[in-house]
Formats: sequence, C-alpha cells, structure tokens
Amino acid sequence: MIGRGPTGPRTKESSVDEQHGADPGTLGLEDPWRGIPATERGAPKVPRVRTAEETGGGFGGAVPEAGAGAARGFDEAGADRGDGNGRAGGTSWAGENGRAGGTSWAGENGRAGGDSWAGENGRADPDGAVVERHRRAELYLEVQHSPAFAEVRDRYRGFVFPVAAGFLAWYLLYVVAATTAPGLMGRRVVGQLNVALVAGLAQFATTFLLTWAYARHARLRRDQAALDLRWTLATRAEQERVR
Amino acid sequence: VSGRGIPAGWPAGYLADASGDHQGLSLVLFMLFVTVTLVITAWAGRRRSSSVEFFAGGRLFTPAENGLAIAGDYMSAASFLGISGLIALFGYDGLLYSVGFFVAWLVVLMLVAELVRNCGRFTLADVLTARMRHRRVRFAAGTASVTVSVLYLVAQMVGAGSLVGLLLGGSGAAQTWTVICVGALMVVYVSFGGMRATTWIQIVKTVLLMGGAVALTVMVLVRFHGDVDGLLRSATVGSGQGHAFLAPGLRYGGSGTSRLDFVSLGLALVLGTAGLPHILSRFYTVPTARSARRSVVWAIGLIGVFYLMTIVLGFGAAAVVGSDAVRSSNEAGNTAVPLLAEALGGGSGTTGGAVLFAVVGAVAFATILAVVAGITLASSASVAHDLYATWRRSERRGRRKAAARAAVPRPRPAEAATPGRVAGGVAESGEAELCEPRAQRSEEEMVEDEVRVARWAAVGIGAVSIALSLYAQDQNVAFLVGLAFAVAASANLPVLLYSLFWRRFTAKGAVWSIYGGLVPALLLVVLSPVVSGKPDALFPGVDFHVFPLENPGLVSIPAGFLAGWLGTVLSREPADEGAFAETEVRSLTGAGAV
Repeated sequence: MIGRGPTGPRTKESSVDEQHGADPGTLGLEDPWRGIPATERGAPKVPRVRTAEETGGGFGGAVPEAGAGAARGFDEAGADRGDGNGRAGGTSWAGENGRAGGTSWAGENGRAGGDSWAGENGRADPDGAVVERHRRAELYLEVQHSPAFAEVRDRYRGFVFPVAAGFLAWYLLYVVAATTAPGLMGRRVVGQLNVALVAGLAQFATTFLLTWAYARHARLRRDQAALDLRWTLATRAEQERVR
Repeated sequence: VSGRGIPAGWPAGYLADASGDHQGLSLVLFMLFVTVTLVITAWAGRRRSSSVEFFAGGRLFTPAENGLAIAGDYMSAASFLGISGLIALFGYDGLLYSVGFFVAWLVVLMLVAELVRNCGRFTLADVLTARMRHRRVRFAAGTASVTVSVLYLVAQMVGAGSLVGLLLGGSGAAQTWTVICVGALMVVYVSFGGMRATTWIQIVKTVLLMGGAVALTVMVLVRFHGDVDGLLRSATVGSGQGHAFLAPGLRYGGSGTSRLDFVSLGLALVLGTAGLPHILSRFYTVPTARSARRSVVWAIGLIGVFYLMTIVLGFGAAAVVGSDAVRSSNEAGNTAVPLLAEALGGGSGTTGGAVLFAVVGAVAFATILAVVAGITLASSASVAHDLYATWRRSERRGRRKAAARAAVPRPRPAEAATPGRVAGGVAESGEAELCEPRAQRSEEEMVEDEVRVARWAAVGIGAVSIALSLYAQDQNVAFLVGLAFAVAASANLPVLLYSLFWRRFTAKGAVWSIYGGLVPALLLVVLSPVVSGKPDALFPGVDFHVFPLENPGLVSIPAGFLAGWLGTVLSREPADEGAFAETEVRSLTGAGAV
C-alpha cells in the first residue's frame, strides 16, 4: 500500500480500492506517517507519488512546484514532528479518523483542539481558525479555477448532463405515452409483442447500456485525472501546512 | 444476543393450529433465517463501537458486497410480491412500476453516488453541511430523512402483517404479533449490530431472494419450453382480457385524474430513489467514490435482472394460475407469486407445491426483515447524527459563548497565526474552544454519545413504527411506499442536486428547498382521497379532500425545486464561493474524503 513501504510498484488506482481488510486510515492516503513509529519519522519512506508532471495533470502553474516539492515537504514535516508531539490527531489532512470531526461540523460549532497545530502546541488562537478557513478556501478556489480541474469537471458534466436529460426525457415520454396514447402503445409489432412492451424492454436495455457507458467513461476519462488532482491537492495542502 | 428469545415464543402456538404443511415449513425456514441473522448480529456486535463502525460498518465493504446490500435494501417484498401481483392482475400497467423503480438507478449512479460518497460521512445532511455550515440545514435534512424512513417503515411492517395473513392464513392476532416481532427483530439487528450486521443481513437476503426468483423464473420458462411468445399468449388467455392485457390502460386508463396520478407516481419513483436515506447511507460503507460507483453498477445489474424476472413471474402467474384465481385469493394480487410457486410445484395439496409455497413465503419474510433493518439504521443515524447532535451542539455552544464573553481573546497578526492546516476534512479548528484542555475529551465523548443515542433511537423508531403499523394494520396503506418516494424526491433530491451543482445556492435556499418539498408533499396527501372521502381511505367517515391525486409528486417535486431557487434568490447574503469550490472539488476528485 502506498505510504507503507516496499510493496512494490502498485498503481495508485489499485491501492485505492484494495484494502486487504485494513482500516482505511492505514492506507496512508492522506497521512503518510500513519502507522510508522515515531522514531522512523525522521526519515519517512516517501511514497512514490506520481506527480502531475508525469501524468500531464496537475493544476495551473503550481504543478511543477507541487510535484517536486512532494518529497521535500514530507521530509520536513517528518523532522518537524519528530519532536515528541506524536500524532495528536491533527495531522490527518483528510480527517479520515472516525472522530466526530469532518467538515460537516466544522463551522457549525468550532472544533475541539488537537486538530490543528494551534491545539497541539497549546496555543490558543481564535483567529487561527478564520485564517485557516481562508487559506483553505483560497486553495480550493485555485484548484477550482485550474485547467486540470476544469477538464475533469467538463468531462463529467459533458457526459452526465446530456445523458441524464436524455434518459429522463425518454422515461417521461414512455410514461406519458402509456397514459395518453394507449392505442398507439397497444399496436402489435411481432407475435404478442406490442409497442408498449417493446418500449418497456427498451427502457431496461437503455438503462443497462447507459450504466455500462457511464462506468466506462468514468473509468477511462475521469478516474485517473481526478486521482491525480487529489494527490496534487494533498501534496499541496501538506506544503502549505509546513510552510 | 438476548433477542434470540423473542421470536421463539410466538410461533409455537401458531404452529399448532396451522392447517397445511407449508405453514410449518415456512416457519421453520423463516426461523432458520432469523437464527442466521441473529448470529450475524452477535458477531458484528462484538466489535468496538466507533461511529464509523456503527454508521458505516467500518467503510471497508467491497463493491460487490455493497452492491448486493444495496440491492437488498431496495428490493422489498412489495416489489417481489406486489409488482408481480400487479402484473398478474393488470398486465402491462403493472410492468410500468418495474420500469420506474429500475430507471431511477441511473439518477443514483450518475448524479448522486460518487459525489455523495466524496463529500459526506454518514448521512445526507453531512453532504449539505459540508457546504452550508448551518445548524438549520442539518436539522431540516435530518427531519426530512426521518420522515421518509418512518413512512417507508410503516408500509413495510403493515405489509409484513398482511403477508402472514395471506401466506399462513393467520388471524388478526397473528398479524399483530408478526408486526411486533418484526419490529423487535429490526431493533435488535440495528442497535446491537449496527451497519455491519445490517449489511450482511442484506447480502444474505439478496442471495436468497435472487435464488428464489431465478428458480421460479426458470421453472416458468421451462414450462413454456422457453417460448416467451407462448407465455404471453397464455397470459392474455389466463387474464380473460385478451390482448388488452398487454396494452396500457387496465389500471390507470380510467379518468384523466387517474392518468395524472400515474404520471405523478412515475415521477416520484424515478426521482425518489436518489433521495432515500437508507440508500444514500449505503455509499459510506465503501472506501472510495470509485467503489461506490462499482457497487451501484453491481446493484443495477442485480436489480435489473430481478425486475425482469418479476415481469416473467407476473405474466407467468396470469398464464398458469389465472388472474381471477389470483384476485379471489387477494384483491391486490399479493399472493400471485406464492400461488404460482404452488402451481409450478405440482399444484395445491402436493408436496412439491407445498415446499415451493413455503420457500416463497420464507423468502418474502426475510426480505421484509432485511429492508426494515436497513431503514431503521438510516433513520436512527439521522436522529443521532443530525437531530440530536444539532441540539446537543447548540446547547454546548450556548454555554461556551457565555464563557467566552468573560474572556476577551487577544488579537493576533495573520502571519503569526497558526501554520494553517489547509484543506481537508477536519481542517477547521475550534474557536474559543481551543482554550479548554478538556475540549478533545468532550469531543470524543460526544462521538460515543452519538452511537449510544443511535442505538436508543433505533429502539424509539422501532416502537413508533410498531405503534403506527398496528394502528394502520387494517388500513389500505399501499400508497405509503409511493408517498415515501414522493417525499424523498421532493425534500431530499432538490437540495442535494442544488448543493452539488449550483454555484449560487445558499443556506437559506437549502432550508427552503427541504421544507418546500416536505410540507407540500405531506399536506397534499392529507388533503388527498387516500386520507378522506373514499370508502377505502384512512378516515372513510369524513371528507376533507381537495387534492385529486393520490400521489403528491407531480406538485411537490417541482415545489421543492422552486422553493430552493426562491430561497436562494431571496437570500440577503450571497453564496460562499470558497465553500462551493470545496464541495465541487471534493465531490469530483475525492480530496479530503473520509
């Protein structure tokens, strides 16, 4: 698994879905230090993150920097944290730990400490949260406006919106035709089959077909680009944090 | 598990007066299923009880497992017995249900599953509040989810009661005890086993149901030597309707109102599935959006094949048993499949017939038990994670504000501030709460609290549903399933789509959208002919119905979308661009997903 040492050249994609019964947190997707003893943290086994450069993804001008900075960022962070603070829960970039954290609560109530450096170091800083929120929003806005993300979004919307409009229209047409034009629907086509039955079976057929088409489109056209963005974003967020 | 003793007592006396041998066999098979599920519950209940474990089963199910469980959550006894029965009675008009229930999954697959998996944690409200950090949004979403779940639960439990009457020839007392036992069992599954037990129960049930349906379908096709045209021809003869049996209009062809009603139902079916809380919460049992997509693909495969088989079974029942025989056994056609099974096994009185009849009855019970467990879990999650937590946190916040007023925080220059943990789930740190050394501990307590509350919420929801179902036992509650879908489509789907896709959507719009769909849907049903004014209405004595349709979807779904738009346009403060950027980026890339 990524982030857990010499498991060979496994692709990111496979590692995301195969957990081998492990806790998702131990995947180390979001936190490369997780599961590594504190003594080793000074020289963490840096996961081979395929960078935006290699895959042609990434976002905007930040790409080369983010890619090249990945390993450095990890090292620094590792050294930084070897100071006995341990892992006070706050390091997980994505909050995969099963605590009642998560974005959902965040603004609603203000979180308990330990989730930020301020909390770990005992520095009480009410403004920190606001600043942090701003920086996070800025990062997400930057990603949102980047060409790489626009590509992923356009591919998603370009497929899903027309197709969804199409199958909903086709379904409604089918329902409305059954109620307004029973004569037409009752016309025989072949044997006992009439237009209505053929249309009903065609609904099944199109649903199966579109399911296959969507899964294929997502797998071939979207998954890799989205995963690259996720990794670039994770690296980038790490850097920001360390800086 | 202590629940072991619950079902042991009730059938004993009942078994004694069961007249045929199929009743006894049905009960034995059903007890076997109950035993297996209780063992699963005991096994799952031994694990530690974190909230991820309880609400999401640890998030490590494979796509295939989750796909089976989703299919299990969705394929209720209503679709196994109900739709086949409708096809046996009304031919083509019954088939329209199958199509609506199935096409709905495209909406789930394309617009909802992956994005919801990426943005949320346990419930629908998590997705919304990831963008609109507002207690009122969470509360509204929780309320809508619980409403949908309770409507669906009552429909299922009343169905369980009448199923006993149909299959086992039980009296009113037997029905009452069935409802109570089903309720008690589902509470035991959920509160002891959480999501892990519920998921495995769904998987077992799906395997049983698919196995039963495949076996019957193959027997029907073998009987007609694989000649589908011959099957259809026999069905037209058996129905006594001629070719009209295969054309639209037998059930919904009457007045203009009944046609509109059908369009309304069709709309609710196709849009409601994507808003069902127990379906949405299933996506959190897998680790990534990609697995969520693959589980939906699995589910679509299973559900599609299943509904195709219900069509064969429905026409088969019309052909082999005959529509009139089905109708004389049960007005709504619910016994079509058991009767078909009996006929395929050799007919009434033969061993083969009795065995098949018993198997179908037991599978139907298993189906109901699994479905009610799934819904109970989803609604208890909404109660604990959304409603209770909203109340609890607002209370704490009130106390903290009072404390904060005493101590004025020191201002700090931005550069010297926290090395910001940017992006990701838990990045936001507390405000004044950071001062408290006990803050983290109380946060953990709160999580434990949430699971504890969820367990008790399952008990409470179980009690409420049992009471409502006992009250509604003799009523015609077939409309409740359609209503649950309509409420889900009106209250849950608009707000979900808006917050995932609409840049300018605001918190006010979200709250308006939920209530703007929920309130009209419920109100219109109260004012509809299913509640008053008709002989088979809930209150047949009085007449205050003004809305002509039985299903409110045609009006309430657009109302939900309209209210969301209106609330957004009328918001004084604009939408938070950063929050939308975060939702959009996270939903499509999976960054920061739990």
